Amino acid sequence: MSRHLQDARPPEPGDLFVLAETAGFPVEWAVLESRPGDPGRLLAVPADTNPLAGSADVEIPADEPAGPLTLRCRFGLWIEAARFDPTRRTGVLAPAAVARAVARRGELETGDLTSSPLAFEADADPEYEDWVREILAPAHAVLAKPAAAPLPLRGPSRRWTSLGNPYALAASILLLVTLGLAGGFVRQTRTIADLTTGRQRTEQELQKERERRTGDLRQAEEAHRKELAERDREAEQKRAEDRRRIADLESRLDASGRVRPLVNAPFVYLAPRDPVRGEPDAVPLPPEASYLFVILTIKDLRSFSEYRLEILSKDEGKTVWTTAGLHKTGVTEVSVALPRSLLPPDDYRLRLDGVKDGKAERVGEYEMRIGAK
Amino acid sequence: MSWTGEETDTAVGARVFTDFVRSLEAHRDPEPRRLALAREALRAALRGELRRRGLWNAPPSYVGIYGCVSWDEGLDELLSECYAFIFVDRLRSLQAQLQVKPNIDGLIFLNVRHFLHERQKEHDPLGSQVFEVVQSALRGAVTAGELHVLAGDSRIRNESVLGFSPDADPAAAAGRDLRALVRRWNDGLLPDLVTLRGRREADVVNRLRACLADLPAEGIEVFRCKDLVDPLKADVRARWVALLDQDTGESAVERGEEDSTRTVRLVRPDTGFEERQLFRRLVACVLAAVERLEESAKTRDYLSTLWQFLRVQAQGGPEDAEGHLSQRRLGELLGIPRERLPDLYKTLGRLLERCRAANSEKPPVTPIPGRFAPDARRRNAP
Repeated sequence: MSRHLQDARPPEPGDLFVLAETAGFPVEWAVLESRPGDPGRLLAVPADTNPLAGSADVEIPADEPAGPLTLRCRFGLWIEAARFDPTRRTGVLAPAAVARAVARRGELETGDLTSSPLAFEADADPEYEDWVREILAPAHAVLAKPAAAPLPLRGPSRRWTSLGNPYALAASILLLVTLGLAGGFVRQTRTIADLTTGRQRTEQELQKERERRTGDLRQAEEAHRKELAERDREAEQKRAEDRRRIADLESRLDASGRVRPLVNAPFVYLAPRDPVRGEPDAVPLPPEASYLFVILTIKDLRSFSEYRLEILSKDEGKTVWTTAGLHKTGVTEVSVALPRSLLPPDDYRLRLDGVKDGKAERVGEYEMRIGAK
Repeated sequence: MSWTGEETDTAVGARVFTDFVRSLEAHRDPEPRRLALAREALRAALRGELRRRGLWNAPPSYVGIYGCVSWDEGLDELLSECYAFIFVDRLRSLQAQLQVKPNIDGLIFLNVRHFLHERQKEHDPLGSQVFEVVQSALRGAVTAGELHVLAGDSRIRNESVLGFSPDADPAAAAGRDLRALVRRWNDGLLPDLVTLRGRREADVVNRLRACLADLPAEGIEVFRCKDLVDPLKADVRARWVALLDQDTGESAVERGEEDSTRTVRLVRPDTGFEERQLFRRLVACVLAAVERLEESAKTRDYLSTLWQFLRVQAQGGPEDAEGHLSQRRLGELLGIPRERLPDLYKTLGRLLERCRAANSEKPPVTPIPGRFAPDARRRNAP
C-alpha cells in the first residue's frame, strides 16, 4: 500500500509516483527507464485506473502488482529524477509490465502498433477521447514545462504566476503598508529600501530565469532538429525498403508469366461412374505439383460439337469451376489441367455435358477425392 | 463542471468517501459506521449515474444484473459490484491520490462513471455502440459548425440540446418524435451501425452525420440528443430481436438442413473478472486473426461483420436459450450473400477454435457441434 512503500531509495524503472504538479489530475506516473548516458532523466508515463485502454496503452491486470492500472504510453516524457519525491512512491510494477510499456513506446515511435483490435475500438470511444483531452493531455502539458523552482510538497498544485504566489505577495505588501503607517517615517523608509532590494532581487531572478529558458529553448530546438533529421532518415529507409519490395514483386511477376516445362506432372484418368455408389477414386497429388491433369473418358458415343464441364464440391454441391469449349480427342477423351489451388482436399463430382445446337445433354458423371478423407 | 463530470458539490465538506478511504488506510477492516455512510453515498452516486446514462428506466440486465426487472430489486447487487470495483480493486490508487489531494470524493464519482461505462459496453453492446456512434457523429457536426450545443453538456450527453443555428431556442427541442425518421436512417446504416468498430467506425459515423442534414427538412431545427439516441437504439434492438425467432443472444451457429440455422451459445461472459478477460481476449484474438487472413478484402469484411454480430449477440443475450436463425434474414441484415454464410461460419469456427486453444485451457465458448465444427468430419465418422 502506498504509505508502506515510502523509502529513501532513488526512483528507478517500475516505480509509481504521484507528483504534486499533477495533483489536479487522477494520475500516477510510472517510471519506465532512465536515459542512456543521463541517469538523471527518467522516462515516465501517466497511469490511471480508467479501464478504457486504447491502442497506445498498456493494461496492467488486477492480478499483477499495482493493478488494475492503465499505462498511457503515448503521453510519456523525460523528467528529471529529482522531480520524483521518494516519499511519494505509491507502488511498483512488475518488470514484465515495464517491458510491455517500453515495447509499446517503441511501437509508437515506429508507428507500428500491434495492439489488440479491441484497443482500436477504445480509441474511437468518445469517453476515451474525453479522457485524453481532459486528463492525459493536460497532465502531460503540466510536466512538459520545465521545473522553474522547487515545487510545494503539500497540497494540490495551484496556478501561481511567474512572480510567485500573488495572494502571498499582496498580503506581504498590505502588511508592509500597515506597519509603515503605524511605525512612522523611519520604518517607512526602511520598508521602501526593503522593497527596492526585493525588486532588485526579483529582477535578478527574472534575468536568470530568462537566461535559463533561452538555454532550454535552444536545447529543445536542437533536439527537434535532430528528431526531424532522424525521421527523414527513417523515411528514406522506408522508401528504399518499398523500392526493394516493388522490385522483388516485379521480378516475381515477371517470372510467373513465363511458361516453363512441367516435370512429374500428375495425371488422372477418370471413367464415368454411378454417383451414388461407392467411394470416389482417390487422386494422389504430390505437394510440389502445381497442376493436376484430368482426362475424362467418354463412353457415350453420340457426336457433339463441344463439351461442357462442371466441377462441384461433392458434399456442399457448390460449383468449384466450370468451362465450355472442350473437344473430344480421337480416343474419346476430353482433358483439362486444373491448378492445385482450385482443388483443396475434398470430394469432387465432375459433370460432363455434350452440346449440340445449343442444347446440352449429360454424357457422364465422374468423381475424385483429393487428399485424405 | 470538473473532470469528474459532477457539479463539484463534493468539495464543500462532503468528504464521506475521502474519510472512508483514510479509515481503510488506518484499519484493516472498515469501520461499520463509515462503511454504512460510504455505501449510502455510493448508492446515491450510482443512482445518479444510472439516471444520467438513461439506464434508470432500462432493464438491470443492460449492466449485467440478471434475474430482476427493476432497480428496486437490482440496485443492491450492482452496488456490491461497484463497491468492489472502486474500494477493493482500486484502493491502492485511491490511497496514492490521497498523498497529493485533500479530497478524493470526486475521484469516486469518476470511478462510478467508469464502472457503469464498462458494464454497459459489456452487457448492452447494442445500446452503447449506438450511443457511441451518435455521440461521435454529433461531435463531428458540432466541430464542423453544422450543429451548435444550445444547452446541457458540451461533450454531448443524453440531455444535451443541439440546434442548427446558434441562436435557436433550446426549449423548441421538447416533444420531438424522431422515430419514423431514424427508422429510415437505419435502413441504410445497419448493420454497420453495430458491426463497424474501431478503425472502421469512422465510416458509419460520417454516414450518420450526413443523415443529420435530413432534420431541418423535416422541420426539426432543435433536438435533444436523447430524443435521437433512444429511437435509434429501440429500432436497432427491434431489428436484432426480430432476426431471431426467439431472442437468444446466441453466437456460434450451426446450419440446419434447409434454410434455418441453429444457434449454439457462445457463452456470455459472466460477471467474474477472469471470465470477462478471457472473453475479451477471445474476441480480440478472432478479430486479429480475421485481419491477418490471406483472403480477399471483401471476405475479411464479411468475416469481421459476422464476428461482430456474433459478439454482440453473445454479450447482449439475456437468457441461455437456443433459437433458430434464418440464414436468409441474417444475410439480409448483415449484407452478406446467403450462399457465403456457411463458408464464413466454417472459417470463423476454425479461428475461434485456435484462439480458444491459444488463450485458455478452460473453454469460454461452448464447442460448436454439427458440421461447422472444425473436426466435425472426424467426429462424425463411424
